[in-house]
Amino acid sequence: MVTVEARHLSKVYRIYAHPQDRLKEFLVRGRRTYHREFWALRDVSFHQPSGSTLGLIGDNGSGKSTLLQLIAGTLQPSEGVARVEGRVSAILELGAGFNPEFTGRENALMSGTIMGTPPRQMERKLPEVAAFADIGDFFDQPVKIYSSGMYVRLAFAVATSVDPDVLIIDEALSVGDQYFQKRCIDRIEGFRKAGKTILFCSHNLYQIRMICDQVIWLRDGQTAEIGDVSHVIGAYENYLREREMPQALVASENGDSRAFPWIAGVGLTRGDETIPHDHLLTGEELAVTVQYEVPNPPTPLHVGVSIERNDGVQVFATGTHVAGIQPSSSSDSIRLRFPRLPLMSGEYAISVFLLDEHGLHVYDRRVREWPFRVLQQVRSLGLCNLEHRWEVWRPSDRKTQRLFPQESGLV
Amino acid sequence: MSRSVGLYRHRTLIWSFVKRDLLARYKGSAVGLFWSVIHPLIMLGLYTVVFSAILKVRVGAGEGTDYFALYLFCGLLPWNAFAEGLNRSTGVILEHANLIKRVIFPSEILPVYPVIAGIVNELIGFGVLLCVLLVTGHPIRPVILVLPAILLLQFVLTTGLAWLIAGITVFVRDLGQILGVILTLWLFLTPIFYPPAMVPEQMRVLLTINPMYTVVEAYRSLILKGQVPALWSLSALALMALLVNWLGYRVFARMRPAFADVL
Repeated sequence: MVTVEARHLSKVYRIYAHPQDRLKEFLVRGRRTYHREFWALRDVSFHQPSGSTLGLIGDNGSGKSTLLQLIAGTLQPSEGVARVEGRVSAILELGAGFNPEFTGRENALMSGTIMGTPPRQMERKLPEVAAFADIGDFFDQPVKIYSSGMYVRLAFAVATSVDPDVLIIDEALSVGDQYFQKRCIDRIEGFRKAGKTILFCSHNLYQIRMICDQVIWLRDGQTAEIGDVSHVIGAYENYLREREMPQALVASENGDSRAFPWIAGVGLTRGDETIPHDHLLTGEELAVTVQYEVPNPPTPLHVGVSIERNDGVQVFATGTHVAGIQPSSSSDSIRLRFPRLPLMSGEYAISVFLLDEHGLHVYDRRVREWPFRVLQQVRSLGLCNLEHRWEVWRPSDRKTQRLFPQESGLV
Repeated sequence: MSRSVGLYRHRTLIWSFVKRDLLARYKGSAVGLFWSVIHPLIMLGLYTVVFSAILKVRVGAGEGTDYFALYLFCGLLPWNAFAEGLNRSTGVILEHANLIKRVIFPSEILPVYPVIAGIVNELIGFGVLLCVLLVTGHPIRPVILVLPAILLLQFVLTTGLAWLIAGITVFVRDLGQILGVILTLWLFLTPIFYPPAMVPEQMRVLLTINPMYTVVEAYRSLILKGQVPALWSLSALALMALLVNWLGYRVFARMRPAFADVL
């Protein structure tokens, strides 16, 4: 059974240069146009079975909120149809309709009524709302004295207190502290288990991966990918990486016209060898040589290097600002040595950053562009061959209470 | 008539809005809602001092000077409710833009609740007036029971205009300014500060097409004179109110889908 269906949904906005142009256009009745068109959403179709969770991902301004609003019915489509079966509750904005002068209790009652729960029914739910919001005595204080965290907690508690068939959530979870975010996720998970249909939009790909059955990736108002969660998220992550890369490449190509330092080249070598090397054994020396160009005038900068495993785990990251070293402020190169690289076997990649003199602003970044592979000859397991030794008590030595360290040193 | 059913269906929500509106006005003040009783009392006292004690204005040859204060007050109460409802309808959609855009919500009730809030204040004023009349020994006749019917007609008329104005103002924001001028003209063209008998013959036509004249006169005749207003004038008012209401709702409903695009 399908509960939510979109067929060729489009939303176009008319952009007027001046407010009076709208009136002019109305008066000439289409004989002349005074607007340009902006397609916030173009030809998006999907059908979502009852009880499933649909995730929306995409950059800011890609049309996620527009799509959710069209499904919720607060916006009217320019073309196409949105069909929803059952009672819809939309959390498009937390605390919409709150009046700062009134107490949390009064606002919760009003807000619930606005969202369609009769006041008497809402009144019965208030203890539950108060418990979930977890704001204690502030529940009976005016909302204007709330901290922003308390505000969103109350708003989320009210918004999810209704009992919808279809729940639409627009990035509501990007607010609040970790603890509250966790509880929100639990709440949504509860809705999901109860067989509700959920439409969910977030920048947190991890959450999307955990919660959704189906994902749509929107790009400039159009469906870039739709379908299986890991497939779509994978494609989107690829796109995110590619978008970072060309910027760096373009930057290097027309580098001379740039105002800020950029990375000219990076070489991975084994020790002091001069030929590039991307195969190492655990414990060998790895040297990362970073060449950078600095436009005139010379600019103080710092160099950062990070090692990541191919599953995204950051193994190690450091920089000259951490070590208290000041690299040359004109074009030069700098080398970072790992005398006995303790990494265990796996695929890794180096990322390099050029930072300002405070180590805060990033002038240039090349993320995971220099891969290398490590093979291990030790039989331990894990990510890193940590320096270690075993100590064993020998019964014969008890009298002297001495400890004989049994070295099983590093390879 | 589906819209009246719609309004009835949303009665608890509308009432929540009205209640919040009335409470918000006096939120944080010490005596709270009591202010809505104090205000009309002060106004009536002021009118009595200025018009009856100082200016000694008479409505007609046969009436005493104390009558003018009551006459003026009785005319201003419905007018203020009417003007307040319309004035606030210009901003009510903009004010609740986040509800329109972000919440699944029957937006047709937004222009309605300020109208009701205005009428509630009018009722409080009438209550004050009736108390004063009783205390001063003015007779109150059973015809006062017809008053709710006039209130209903006033509500239907005001709501229709409020929908019309609220809908158009979203697109033509200048209407808010224009309305201020129109309401001032309208106030002075309605016999509120002067008796209708003083209006010259050639200007009488302005009275017959003015529904607020009928409303104001109906209240005066019920409260001050103890007479039922002429049935034909009430029928004309009812017809006009229903027509304006129907038209206003149609315009509003027609414009509503585009609200979220412009706000």
